[in-house]
Amino acid sequence: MKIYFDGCSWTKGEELENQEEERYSKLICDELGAEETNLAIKGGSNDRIVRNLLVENHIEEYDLAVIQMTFPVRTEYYMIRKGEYYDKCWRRVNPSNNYSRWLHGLDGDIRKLGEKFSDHSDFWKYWYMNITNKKFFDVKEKIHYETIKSYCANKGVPLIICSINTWSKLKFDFVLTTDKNTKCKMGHPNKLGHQIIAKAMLDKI
Amino acid sequence: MKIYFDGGSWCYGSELLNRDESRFSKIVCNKLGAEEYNISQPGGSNAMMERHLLVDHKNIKEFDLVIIQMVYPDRNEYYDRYKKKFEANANFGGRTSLVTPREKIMVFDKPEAIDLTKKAWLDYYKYIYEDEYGLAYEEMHATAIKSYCKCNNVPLILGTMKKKKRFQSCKTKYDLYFNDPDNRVPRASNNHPNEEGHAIHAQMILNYIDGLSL
Repeated sequence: MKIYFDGCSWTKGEELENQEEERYSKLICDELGAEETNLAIKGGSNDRIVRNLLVENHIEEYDLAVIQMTFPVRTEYYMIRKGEYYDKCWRRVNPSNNYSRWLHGLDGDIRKLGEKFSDHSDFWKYWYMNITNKKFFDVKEKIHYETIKSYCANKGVPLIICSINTWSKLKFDFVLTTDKNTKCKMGHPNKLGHQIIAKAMLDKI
Repeated sequence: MKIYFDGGSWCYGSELLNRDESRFSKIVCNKLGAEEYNISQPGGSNAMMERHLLVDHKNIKEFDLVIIQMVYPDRNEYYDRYKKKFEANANFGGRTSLVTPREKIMVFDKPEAIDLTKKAWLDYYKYIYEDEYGLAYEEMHATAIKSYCKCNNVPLILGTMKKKKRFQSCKTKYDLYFNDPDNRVPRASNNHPNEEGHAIHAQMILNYIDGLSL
């Protein structure tokens, strides 16, 4: 049995002491005797999750897909760095949780928004302050959600779809949250938090 | 029978004197005795078409066939907070400042003539956009459209404006290539198909439908 996992830092196991052993994807696979493929990265976007699913991988090779969607404000772009150090790669764009809070009318401090972007910070700051908006992100999240569901259904691969976006109005199998007993310093699930997520998902499986 | 059409200006029927009667979607529907539903927009993007299909239409199953004419991958859209609707980002400057990555030189021609939103999109093409991004996202849009139609058991004909030979290395496969230089159709002054061109495209589609078991 092979299980495909993708998501952001929550699924990667950020802040765990031994993330490859303690994250929920590993706990689920150990319990089921399954092979774990975990493509999650810190700061990853829903754009990246859908690109991984539709373009970069073959989901039909897996027996189950577990997709953890993230905050829809994140995105990505393809960067080609020319010059002495030629490089090309997909780059994450993550305006931080404060921006999401601000977008929802809460107390998010966005004074340092420009510092969140390692490249083209002036562009991305203007982009997030003037071009994009809540409606844009809500629609984009819905498109990604429908795409993931219909693609897995077509390929005959069972799907568990969850999110860390507690503002979302979409119907997820799970909305992942933590409390004071289950979170690390930066808010990611701790070892107990991952155990609780794994248990909930195993119950559903 | 009800047929859903979406696309850019070619599907919309730009430059036709009597668009509602002579565009290819109407000709196809007349021939099949079908009801035409055409929501294409000049300057429309593949992202727009995906949004129309996956989000705006609650019940795609009411259609017997979906025909989508995808466009160049560099186009995009955004939600205009003042107009309260999604807007295409391409062609916004008119003929003298058409903005695509392939025509970046236009960016600097008339900087005083563009507002800040347009300036941001120009910067996007200047600093952010790469063809690799466009190709990957084109495949995502195409695959999402195919999956959604298949999931809802609605037959789909997926065409493109891209030139087949120029993009042979592209992974995305289409049913119809409307802008293939080998089958160039007669054009109007601004390069959109004229009445005769639309009649040819309609026949292309009808021939393809003949091969489907609808």
